[in-house]
Amino acid sequence: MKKEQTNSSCDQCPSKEEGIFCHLNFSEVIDVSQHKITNRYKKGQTLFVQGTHPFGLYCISSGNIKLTKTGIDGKESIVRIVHAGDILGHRSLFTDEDYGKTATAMEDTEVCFIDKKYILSLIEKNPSVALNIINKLSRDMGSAENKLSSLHQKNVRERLAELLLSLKASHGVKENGRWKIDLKLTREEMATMIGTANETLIRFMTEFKDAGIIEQEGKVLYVKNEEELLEWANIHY
Amino acid sequence: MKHQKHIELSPEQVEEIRTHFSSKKFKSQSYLFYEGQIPISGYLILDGTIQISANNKYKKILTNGTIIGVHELLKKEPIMISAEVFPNTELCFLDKSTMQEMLENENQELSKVLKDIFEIRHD
Repeated sequence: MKKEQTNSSCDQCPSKEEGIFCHLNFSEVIDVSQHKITNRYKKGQTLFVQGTHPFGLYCISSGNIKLTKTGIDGKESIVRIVHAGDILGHRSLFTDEDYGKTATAMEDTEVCFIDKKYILSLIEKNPSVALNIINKLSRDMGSAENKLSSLHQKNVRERLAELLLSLKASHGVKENGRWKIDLKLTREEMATMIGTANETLIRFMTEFKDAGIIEQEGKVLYVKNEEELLEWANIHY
Repeated sequence: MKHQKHIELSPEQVEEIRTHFSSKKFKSQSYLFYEGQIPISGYLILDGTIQISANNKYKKILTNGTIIGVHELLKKEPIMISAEVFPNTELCFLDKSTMQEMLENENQELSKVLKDIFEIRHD
């Protein structure tokens, strides 16, 4: 049987420079590496489920993970997509609340887990870890505030343009003069991310393609004209 | 090393563990770990059930007083089964840091229980 477990060291982690342990010295990083648990999750497997209790912190080493919230009608919305270098479960961990969302691997991913007791002792010894967590929390809060104001103030076309720009910034790879977004999101998933119906999203995607702003090959999206997209999003960076 | 599929504790042992670790009731159905992974915690069933499967086939149901995943967590070894917890199941979470502290403290009664559990792994 193929074993899913890996034994990667934090020092070798591809997301080392973006993670919360990037300011630790070598011996501290080794200590974290010895304590953490590293696992691989296959596409569709869940790291945790909405309504369950957190007892540690997840650090994403590679791959993309979607955070979804299920409403009382059973409908699922993507709240956020996290990638290598991001952490998961920190908000619920520090507030001691149950997870408010479900985390699901969007592809084969590698994730490290550190239990609550260890992470709290690490923060006491190394304030840089706390600062890095605060930094990530602040960014998350900024994104949530932007998303909330977009839902109130912008129309669907602007929200779609904004989503594409945000996915380009977080997951885009420059390829032959265009930005490749290889997240393989379904139309339904994209529609939930901007709070609209499937049919409306499809209509606007066609409009974006006809205008030569984006291209699509299967489920892979390409941003061809970033400047035009900024105009359509009605934002100015 | 003892090899067995699961470990059932006495009510006294369950109470002893319960006093040292946090416990919670699961509101939703959820996987605790998937086949081939290292469990991120040891789990003791206080009230309810966990379904065990391997190669996508149902294997068995574990019930109250059963402990799972401790050996693999402390030895960082992959476990060759998947475990899915059902709603309203109450579990005690045996985190790695607390277990390591207890195993180092020979004077604690619980460290003897944990040492026995630690020697048992799942096949």
